[in-house]
Amino acid sequence: MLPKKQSRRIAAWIYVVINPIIDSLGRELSFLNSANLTWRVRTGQCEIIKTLQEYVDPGQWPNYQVFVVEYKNSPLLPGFRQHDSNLEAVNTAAKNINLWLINSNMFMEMFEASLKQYESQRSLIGPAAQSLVDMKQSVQEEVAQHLINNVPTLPAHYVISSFWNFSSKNFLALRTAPEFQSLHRSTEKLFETSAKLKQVLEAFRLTLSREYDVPAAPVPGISFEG
Amino acid sequence: MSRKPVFLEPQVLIFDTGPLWELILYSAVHDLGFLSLKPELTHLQTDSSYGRLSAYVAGFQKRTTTPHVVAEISSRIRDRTEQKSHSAIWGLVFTEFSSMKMDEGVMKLLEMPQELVANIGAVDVSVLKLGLSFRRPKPLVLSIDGRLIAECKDAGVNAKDLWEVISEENP
Repeated sequence: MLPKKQSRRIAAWIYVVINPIIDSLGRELSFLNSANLTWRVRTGQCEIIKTLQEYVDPGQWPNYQVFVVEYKNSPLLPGFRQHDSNLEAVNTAAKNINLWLINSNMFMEMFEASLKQYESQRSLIGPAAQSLVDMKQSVQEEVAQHLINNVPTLPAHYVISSFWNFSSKNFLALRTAPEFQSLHRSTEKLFETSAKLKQVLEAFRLTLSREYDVPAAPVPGISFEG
Repeated sequence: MSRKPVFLEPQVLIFDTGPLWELILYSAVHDLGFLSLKPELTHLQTDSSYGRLSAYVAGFQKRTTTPHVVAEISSRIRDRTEQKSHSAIWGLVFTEFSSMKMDEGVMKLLEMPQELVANIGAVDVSVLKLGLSFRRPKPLVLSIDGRLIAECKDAGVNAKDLWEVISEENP
């Protein structure tokens, strides 16, 4: 049987645009669900949560761009724009919080006190509890990052894990400070947009799949060669 | 009375590619949900084996590797994972390196014994040479490569197989 008109393009969009975006949104939602933004001081951006185009293999960006052009008037595209602008807001809010923390007396005093307490007790914690006094600045940056990402515990092999796992409860309490409100709001908005977009894309994939008789994932033996 | 040393194990851990790749894969599977990479995990197949490796690494004051190992990790990412996940996996590599405060020791090819390079490859020789470059603190090479482990031991460098670290007899 000859393929239906357009089915090869539709297959390409499903496999290299829609599916990777749906997968990535699922991953994004599971991080956002625990308020882990995967934000990094090093880059000033969320590491795992990205713009929608970045979820597509760069070699397939032409297919993404054609998809965006072909569906420019569909209700999908405002969702795409909303996602990326919400993500930008999250990145900006996280950057602002990081600046606030590093310049905040409250945070610095808490940091100094926690570090002092940790250093005085680390021999009791065990040999993995390394002294951190010589790397104070990088520890401060990491603490701020884990606080922004709402990380409760770290794996043992991370150098600051003993310190963080010992004092994270106190630091994470700072997340209730009014300065965090903008970050919480933008995270919530991103979560809502991403959840809705994932649903819409799944429904859209189903429609395309039915309309053009294209399986939702590549099936060995079924080719779309014309 | 003098205090006993806190560290019974050597104090510098030198990562060969295998154990580092396992740590990265474990995070890719469990933190990022890249389930298609699960069959690639040959050693860290359970949370407890990951926990044992993590705790073992934590016992070292310093962790280091060589740029050759980083290059091997890079080619594994390119060859064994999908292009669309490269950015996220490299993110993991950077996070692991920065969180472990991983150092790198440069070992020049022309300073390596040519015959040994021909025999076990430049990556393994770089790891062995890095081990030999430490006198104090004492190093330990962590690998999954029996040949490299044997070469290290012959040369007087402490080396351990990842299996020994994650086995259940090693709580």
